[in-house]
This record gives sequence, structure tokens and C-alpha cells, in this order.
Amino acid sequence: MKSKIEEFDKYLRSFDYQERQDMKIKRDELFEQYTKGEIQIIDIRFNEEHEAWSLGFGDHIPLNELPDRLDEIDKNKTIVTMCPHYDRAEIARLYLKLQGFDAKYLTDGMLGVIEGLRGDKARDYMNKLKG
Amino acid sequence: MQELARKIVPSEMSNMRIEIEDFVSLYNEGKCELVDVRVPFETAVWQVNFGLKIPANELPERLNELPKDKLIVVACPKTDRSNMARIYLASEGFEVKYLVGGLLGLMDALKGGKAKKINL
Repeated sequence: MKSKIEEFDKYLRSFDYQERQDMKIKRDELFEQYTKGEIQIIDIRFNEEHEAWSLGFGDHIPLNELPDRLDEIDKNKTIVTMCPHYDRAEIARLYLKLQGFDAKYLTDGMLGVIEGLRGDKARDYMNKLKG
Repeated sequence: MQELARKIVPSEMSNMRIEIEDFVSLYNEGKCELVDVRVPFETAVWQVNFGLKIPANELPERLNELPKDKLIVVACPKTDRSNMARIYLASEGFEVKYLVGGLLGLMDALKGGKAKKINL
């Protein structure tokens, strides 16, 4: 059994331009893939943050609970982690990647998502989601 | 409406709008109520988990749901719809202000440790 450090070493040694691209996803692409059922979205904010405001889709698993709740994550989907910006989401993404998941973080962040889903764009998104 | 029009002067601006920080303080003291005036398909995709949700176009029929003993703080993503809603509610006799920075600003303010600033 390799140590976690060795796995991290291996990941970093293989880090290239392709992975730099693959590790992240933008808002529009996120919506596209989510409506196709290809993605599981995870809000990794603290409980107090999630209680204050939230998105109407995705799952909530606080970053500090991630290790103990891996069974709630779908091994067959691409996982997208999100937080208000992207700093914490990147920590979650990297952790999940090292656990064997296909994981990306949302570059626009949750604040970018809500900015993009205003007015009629919210309606269009909902209609696409319903199929 | 004539009286409302006469109040459109710089010195009256602070009676028409409220900053996010001031809103949070008043909300925690139970002195104001937030009203999200977006339509249902908008509140379905994201929302603040407190306050009332009454679409602007339903305000006329739902005035009875608004508290008369508190300041009403209307909000939309930015400030365009909320300011229109404010004018309508003011004409109906409510004490009302729109939220400067809107819901987008409010959610930006309630992230990280600052999310604990609002009493839920």
C-alpha cells in the first residue's frame, strides 16, 4: 500500500498542461454536463454558510467532513467541487482526485453561478434540467 | 404618488436604500424583514434561506403577508426590480428600503466565517 505522500508525489510528477485544463470546469460547461446527468456537484462550504444561502441543486458535504462521507460520492460520475470562489474547492478537488475520483473544481465559484442564473437565464436552465 | 415624487432628492436617498451590513444588524434585532422579489424559477435555482419570497408581480395580491411593524427590505439580484418594488410598497404605505448590492452582494457578504453574522 503506497503512502498518501507517494500518491501525491506521483500526481505532481505527472502534472502537465492537460491536467491543468482537466482539473477545472467553467459554469456553462457545468450546466451542460449536469443536465446530462454526467456530473455530481458538491458544495463544500461549512454548515453555517450552507444554512445562510444555497443553490437548488447539488449535494452539500462540508470540506472537513469529506473524508468520512466518501460513500456519498458517485464513482461513476465526474465530481465538481464548489465554494464561493475556488480556493477551498481546489483543496476538495485534489483530495478526491487522490482518492481515485474523477474530480474538477468550479472556476467561477458559487458566486459566479448565482450571477449567471438570474432572470430568464434561470428559467432556461430549469427548462433544460427538466429535459 | 405626488408626495413620493417630491422625495426624489439626494437627502432622501438614505430612506430608500439600506446597506447590507446595516440590514444584517437590523435583521438580527428583529426589526426588518427581507423580501426576495424574484419569480419562482429563479428562487428554485438559488436562494437565501431566510426572509420572505414574494415575486414582484404578486405583491398587489399578497400585501397582507408583509409585516406592518417592521422595515421591509426588498431585494433582487442587483437593485433594478427591488427599487421598483420599493416604490410600489412605499405608495401603499409601507416603510420600505431596497438592499444596496442586492442578493448577489448579500451572498458574497455571507460566506466563510461571515455567514455566522446573520441569526437564522
